[in-house]
Amino acid sequence: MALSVLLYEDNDLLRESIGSIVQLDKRYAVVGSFNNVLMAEAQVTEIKPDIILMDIDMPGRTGIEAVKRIRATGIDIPILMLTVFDDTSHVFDAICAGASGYLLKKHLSTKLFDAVDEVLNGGAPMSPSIAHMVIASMQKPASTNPYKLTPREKEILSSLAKGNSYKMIAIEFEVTMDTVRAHIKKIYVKLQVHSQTEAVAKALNEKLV
Amino acid sequence: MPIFDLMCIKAKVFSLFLVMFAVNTFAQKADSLETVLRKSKADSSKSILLSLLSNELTKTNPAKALESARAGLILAKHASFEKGMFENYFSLASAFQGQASFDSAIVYFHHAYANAQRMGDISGQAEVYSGIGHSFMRKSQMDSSRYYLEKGLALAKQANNFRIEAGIYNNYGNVLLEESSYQKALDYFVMAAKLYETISDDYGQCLALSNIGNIEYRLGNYKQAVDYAQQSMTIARNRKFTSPVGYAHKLLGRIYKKQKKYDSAIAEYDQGQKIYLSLGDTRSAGEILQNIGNVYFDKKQYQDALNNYQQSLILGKNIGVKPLVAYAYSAIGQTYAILKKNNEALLYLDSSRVAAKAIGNKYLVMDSYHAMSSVYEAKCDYKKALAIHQRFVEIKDSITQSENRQLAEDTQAKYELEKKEAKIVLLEKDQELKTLALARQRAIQIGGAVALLLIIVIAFLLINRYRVINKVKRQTEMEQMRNTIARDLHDDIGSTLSTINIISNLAMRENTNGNNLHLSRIAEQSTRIMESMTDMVWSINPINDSMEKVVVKMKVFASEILESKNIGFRFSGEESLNGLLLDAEKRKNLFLIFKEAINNTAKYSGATEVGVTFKKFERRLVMTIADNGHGFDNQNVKEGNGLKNMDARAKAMQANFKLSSVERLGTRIELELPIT
Repeated sequence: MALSVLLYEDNDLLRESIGSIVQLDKRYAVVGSFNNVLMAEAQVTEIKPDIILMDIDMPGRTGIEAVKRIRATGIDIPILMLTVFDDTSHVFDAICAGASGYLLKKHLSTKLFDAVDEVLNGGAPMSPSIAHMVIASMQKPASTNPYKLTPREKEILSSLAKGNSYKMIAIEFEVTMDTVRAHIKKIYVKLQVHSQTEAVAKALNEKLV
Repeated sequence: MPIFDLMCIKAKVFSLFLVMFAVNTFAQKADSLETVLRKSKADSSKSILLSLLSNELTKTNPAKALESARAGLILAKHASFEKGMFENYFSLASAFQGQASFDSAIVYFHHAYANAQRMGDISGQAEVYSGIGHSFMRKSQMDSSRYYLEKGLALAKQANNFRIEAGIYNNYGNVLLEESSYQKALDYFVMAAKLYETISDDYGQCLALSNIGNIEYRLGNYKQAVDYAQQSMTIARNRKFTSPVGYAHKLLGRIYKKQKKYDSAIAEYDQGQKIYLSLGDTRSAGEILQNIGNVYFDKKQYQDALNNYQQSLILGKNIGVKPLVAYAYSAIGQTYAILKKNNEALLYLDSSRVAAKAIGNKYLVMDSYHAMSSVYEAKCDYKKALAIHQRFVEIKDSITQSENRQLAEDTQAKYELEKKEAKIVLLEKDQELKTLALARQRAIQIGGAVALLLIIVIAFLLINRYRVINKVKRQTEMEQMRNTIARDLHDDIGSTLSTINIISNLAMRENTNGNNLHLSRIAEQSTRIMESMTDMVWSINPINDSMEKVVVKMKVFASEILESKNIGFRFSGEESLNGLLLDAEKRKNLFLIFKEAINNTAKYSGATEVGVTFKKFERRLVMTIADNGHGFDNQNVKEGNGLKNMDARAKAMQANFKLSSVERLGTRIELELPIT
């Protein structure tokens, strides 16, 4: 049975094109596509897709907000963010909100399936600028190592931030590429756990729970 | 007879000073000195002996005393013997002082001072000043007297010569006595007495005690006066100091006279007179005879008085002491006047007038005129009486005038001095105030200048800060705006381009057997535009202004391109670029040249390894990209493959661009760009 894909993208032509690409592979089936995320939680709860592709920049409500809301309902369906840039805080924020990975739009036609496979298999891409943002957020004085990263994870992050590819990191630390991916995935999880704890703490403080 | 009383007091004061300078010696001493003098041969010792002889003779034979000192001086000068000159000048001065020739005395004292100075004899200098001070006192020039006495005192203290110091206290006491400052005079005499006691100078102490007694007498404390006189006498008797014994008798006589104990007074005077006669001090003896006469006069025993006056006159004439003679004439004349022996009276009074005039004693002249006028009146010769009286009035006026003038001058001088001092004080105060005002003004000026400077600096800093902030703010705003525009544009266009790219790819898949050249071009171009748009947006983002960010992007790009083609790559020297900033244009050009080079390597070189090396120098940065591919012939490829593009970008950033390729060995490009 084909894996169901739910798609959010405000650019109609692009949404259709992405849908067409996904349809090319018999393993996948687009079960829904929307030009906004205003009803995302309900739609996701109802459709229960295997993977969600979500544009970050959308009018009305951003993909980041949508990820937060979806995750808040307790759904942990993999979400792959689509973006034009990977050097803004958007991608980082999306990851912290619970996104499972991201794909640059320019690579849609060449790398979409690789990215989806990667996410479904528990791997995740991380660009140097995102690694840099993680390190920077860790260096904030009040919260030394708030994500409770291991030394090796920190080493990998700083190597990533220097622009080294997974392959180069694998060579540098004499491990396999899969190990590197596993580390990155762990970092993702820690980032998300942290932001969720933070959100709960914040909510507790504001007496919303 | 008040005028006569005045005269008597003057005479008494005079004799007091003589006693102070009296030498404790006997008349025989002069004889023995003369004997020694005849035996000695050296001029130097002779001169000293002559000065000693002169000192001995001062009281008994003033004329010979002068003669002796002059002879001694000539000898000393001949032998260039300073000590002899000093001693003889001093003796000369003392002799003149004894003769009441104080101006001459002062002149010779100054000579003696010059000698003492040359010899470095500080004691001698002090003694001379003491003498000069004494002379000025006798001239009634008290300020000059004080001046010299004070200088003398300082010198005596410097020389630790207590004898001279005590002597000066004595003289100072006498100055104060003359000024009727009895209490102060007493203080000085007491100081002198104590000092004499300290150095066990009994002779000096006798004198000091007598002086104290004298003061007490002046103050009317007759009991104490007698007490001091007797103390002095006891010491003097024990030590056989004859002269002070004589003086003590004289003092006691004076006190008793005042107490109207006439008989006791006469008894004391008698003893004193005998002692002075035995000493050969004829002058003092003569003075005492006059004093005895005065007592008899007071007792109205005029004949006895006359006898004593006559004796005194004879003594005075014998030794040629002119003041004694003059006073004796006057006293005799006035006694005769009382006795109504008018002609004798006139004779003596006229003699007194002449003698007094000769020694310049105006008071005595005046007294004589006054007495003569009274006598003529008694003789009923009123015309003469009037004429003489007029003379009396004239001289009285002249004296009063001169006294008044003196007083006026003194007062004037004092007033001027005070005025000047006040003015000086005022000027000093003024100066002080001016200085203060000036200092304050300066402080204010400096303060003002500093404040102004501070304000300017602060203003400048504030303005500059404002400008910088503003500029930075504007720049940041501009950049942010540009960035936002670029991103928004790119987000939109990027999505569209992605769509085109996807669609062209889809079309190629559907049309599997047709010619896909156009479609693949569309796909390729859309990818390319997406890439360059990303690069542009990246380069204008100020977050990416550091070289580190550029290198990171280069690495990401290199791994994207080369890893899929299994081309190994290595970066080196990039650590040296940490902290280096590049502007948007430069980092875009630098990255694009790198990108072009890596693309060329990936597409055409067939290399297995690429090395990227950075080297940073003082003002330039060198980037080298070298591969181990098959290379190419420069001539053939010049037109294509973006080499031209790279060259243009290098020129745009004033960089040197070198491309070298050797066939089968590889390609190497070197970019050298200036950094500031």
